[in-house]
Amino acid sequence: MAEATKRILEFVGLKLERFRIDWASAAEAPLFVKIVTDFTETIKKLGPLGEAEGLGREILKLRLEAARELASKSRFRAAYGNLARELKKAGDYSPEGISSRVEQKLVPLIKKELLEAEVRSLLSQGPVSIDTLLQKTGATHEDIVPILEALSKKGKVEKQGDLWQPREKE
Amino acid sequence: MGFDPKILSFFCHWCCYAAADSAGVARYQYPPNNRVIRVMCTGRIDPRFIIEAFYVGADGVLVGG
Repeated sequence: MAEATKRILEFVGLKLERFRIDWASAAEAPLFVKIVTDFTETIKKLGPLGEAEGLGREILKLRLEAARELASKSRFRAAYGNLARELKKAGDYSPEGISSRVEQKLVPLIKKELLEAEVRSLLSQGPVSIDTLLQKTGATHEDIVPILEALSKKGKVEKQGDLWQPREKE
Repeated sequence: MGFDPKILSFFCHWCCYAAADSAGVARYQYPPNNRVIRVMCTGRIDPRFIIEAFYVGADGVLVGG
């Protein structure tokens, strides 16, 4: 769970220090206090969301919205559930084992769906050039072109000169 | 420092939540930036919760099992 979440946050562009999962049993009040104090210090150092990451409000909102969409999408839920089942079957709960499986099964999906959601949301605001898309999503050219092509195949977007725009419904 | 972070914490009812309780009873001092959500088990937590937390403006998310 933590690994998958971390990978999503990484693609959103957030510092992974902002999310921490830790353990303290009921009898470990001092340890608990230490965890909470440490974590608060870390966040204080990082500043408000987006500051240490160098992300503006608008971009942050765009990306988190895409992440939200991704996390509730049935394709992601299914992949996530299958991965959990696979882990249980294999009985391999080492951090490396989990991480490599997440890398293999979830990361491509996360990357693609996040980018697609971002592109769709940007396009819904009107025509945009590919450079703007690249700048706002932080993706590479090779990643974004197949997505635009797939969307245009579905008839959702079209290219007009240098600009991409949502296709009018006839 | 002027910045007061908003931290959302998900605590397990049986572990961290109880630890927080006993920390209070023992009068340990700790920062007041946490907003705690108690869950019956850390296994209840889903990636969606964490993302939603950041989306609605948390500066950090702590999961305590």
